[in-house]
Amino acid sequence: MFKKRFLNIFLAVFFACFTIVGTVHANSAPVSGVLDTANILDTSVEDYVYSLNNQLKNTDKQIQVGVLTLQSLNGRSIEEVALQYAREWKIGFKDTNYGVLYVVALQEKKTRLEVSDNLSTILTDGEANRYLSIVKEYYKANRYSEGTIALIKKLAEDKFIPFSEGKSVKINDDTIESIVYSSILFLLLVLFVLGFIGKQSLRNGRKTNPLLVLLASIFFDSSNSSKRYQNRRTGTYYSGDSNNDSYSGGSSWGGGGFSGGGSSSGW
Amino acid sequence: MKNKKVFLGIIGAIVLIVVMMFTSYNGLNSARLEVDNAYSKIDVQLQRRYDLIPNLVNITKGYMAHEKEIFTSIAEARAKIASAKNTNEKIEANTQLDTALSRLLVIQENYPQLKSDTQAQQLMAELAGSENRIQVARTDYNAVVTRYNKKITSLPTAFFAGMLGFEKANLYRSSEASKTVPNVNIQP
Repeated sequence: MFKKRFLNIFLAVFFACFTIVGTVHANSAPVSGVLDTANILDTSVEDYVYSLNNQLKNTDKQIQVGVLTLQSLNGRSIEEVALQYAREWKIGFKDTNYGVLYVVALQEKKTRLEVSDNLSTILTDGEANRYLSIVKEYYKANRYSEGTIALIKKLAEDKFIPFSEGKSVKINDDTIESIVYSSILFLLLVLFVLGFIGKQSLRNGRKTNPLLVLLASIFFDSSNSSKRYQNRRTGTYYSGDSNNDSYSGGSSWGGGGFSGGGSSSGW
Repeated sequence: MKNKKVFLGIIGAIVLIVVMMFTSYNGLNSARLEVDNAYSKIDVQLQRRYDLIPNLVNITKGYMAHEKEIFTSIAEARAKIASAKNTNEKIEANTQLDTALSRLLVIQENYPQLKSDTQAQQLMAELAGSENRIQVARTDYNAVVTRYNKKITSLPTAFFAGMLGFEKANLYRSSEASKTVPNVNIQP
């Protein structure tokens, strides 16, 4: 009796611990790369950042750009907030760690470029500060989307694209995965054709290679097994295809190495 | 028979303690390495600032001829860092440099000519960046130290921590002046 009660309490505490761990989670990166909480940007910014990130991810540097707007900093410094988001979003790719976060605080009229350690070798703090002056005139006229695109475009043209260009396109894990999947698909197709030949030759009563008989029985005799193979093939096809899609959220955001680099400014 | 049971019990207890000691040691050791690593990151950032100063002073001195006192205290602090014999002296000298440089960053706002010098502004932005990096490195260090200290004072590791030579690490306390990161605005 006592033992059972003890066990119940133990299990309750055990699962409660897991629930607590599960609920404490950090802000994750927005799929488009843009989080506009101040509601000052239109979709053109999202489109631009999204397509730029797609362009950059196919180079071996894999620079990644994030944009965040805030209504207010609530008394915190923009440096602190920018670092927190850059680390939580894990901007950049896991192996390369080239990431940059652009933060706008509307009420305080402040801007900041938070640059990862690796990226700060090509975008120094002093340069970041100079680039931030691009948005001033736009922001003073409340043209936030235009200003933001102008800044990121200039950074991309001057720094990100030249830095990434001329480098071999990186064969990332996704590409390797798709090669493996297509090879399996091809092999299955060959086996299927051989099985079909075996089946035909059995039907015609000819002398048949035992391997072909085996393949014929796998693909055509047992309806269950044949269905299972087809399903697997369909699955293979779709997972191969998803590599051609634009990146989808979390998996691409795995970078780090942010330790306060970058520059702050205002308008 | 009974003696055998007692004997086995003692052996079991010893094995358990040894296993616990090993796991505690490994956990504490990796936590202490993290502390060392975080400390070296502060050092790297302090060195970055230290190397930046000569250029910055050279270019700003001309514009700020009246601020002799600041430049003197910067030079003094820098000399002290170079001749520091131990960690405490180094921390003290760096704190002095924190104060002097943050004053420089505030006062430069009063010199419009300096603001129009692109190179000077770039160096000022680099300095502000350096100050922020140092601040972040110190905060990260303190977080790692807190985690380590918690580990060596909580059970069951606390039993072995002292025995295995793990001592409490000190938190980094920066001066009030260096806590605020000065903002640099180029172009009025």
